[in-house]
Amino acid sequence: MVTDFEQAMRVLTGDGIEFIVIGGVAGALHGSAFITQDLDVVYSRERENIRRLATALQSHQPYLRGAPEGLPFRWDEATIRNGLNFTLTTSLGDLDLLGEVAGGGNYSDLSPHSQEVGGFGVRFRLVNLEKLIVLKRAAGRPKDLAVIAELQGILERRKQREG
Amino acid sequence: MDYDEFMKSPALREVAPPYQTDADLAAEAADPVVEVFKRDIDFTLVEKNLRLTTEQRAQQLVNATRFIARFRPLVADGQR
Repeated sequence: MVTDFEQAMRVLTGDGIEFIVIGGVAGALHGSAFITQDLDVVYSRERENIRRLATALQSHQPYLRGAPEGLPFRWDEATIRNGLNFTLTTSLGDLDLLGEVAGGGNYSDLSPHSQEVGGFGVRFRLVNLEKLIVLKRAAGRPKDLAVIAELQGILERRKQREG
Repeated sequence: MDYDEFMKSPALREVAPPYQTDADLAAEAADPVVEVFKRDIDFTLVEKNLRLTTEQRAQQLVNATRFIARFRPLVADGQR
């Protein structure tokens, strides 16, 4: 299933959830030509934010991506509190909710490296390009090498333009 | 001295390598593997994207994923 980014972003921002967009969507918003199919966000682990996250996604059938069907998985505050990083399939598409990310830490750590932007008809926080490259490097996945090369090129072009 | 105190103390600077900003780390272009990958990137697409606003890039991503969602089942059907 392909993620409905507009709807997913509307759901997340509509409930005032604190999160930062990272991953392929962040890359695309910084100018990458690679197309991504899932939405990766780092969310705040504050109690109120966890409550909002649980409520917001409740009606979108969140389930652990790749897990066998029929597991007694419940999407609620307790589950989020007891876990950290969730790779989910939902009726909105694939959604990765990360409490912490390699190279970036948690929401508070990452927040100074993000900025508020407009996109998908809403406003939200987006990790900055420099940090996104750091995150991709930290992930250490061979599949990211071409993406890192492209993001690095974008950064160089941006610096040239800024003189 | 407990862990939190140590993390804030000058003693840490004596044992830890010099602090690098994200820009420093991101610009560590000395990675020869990444440089090789860079040769195969079509930067004409990137240049085009860089002329768009963030809102327009978001819309472009939405359009691309909708296109995939619409035509992927047809391709799958055709392969059966």
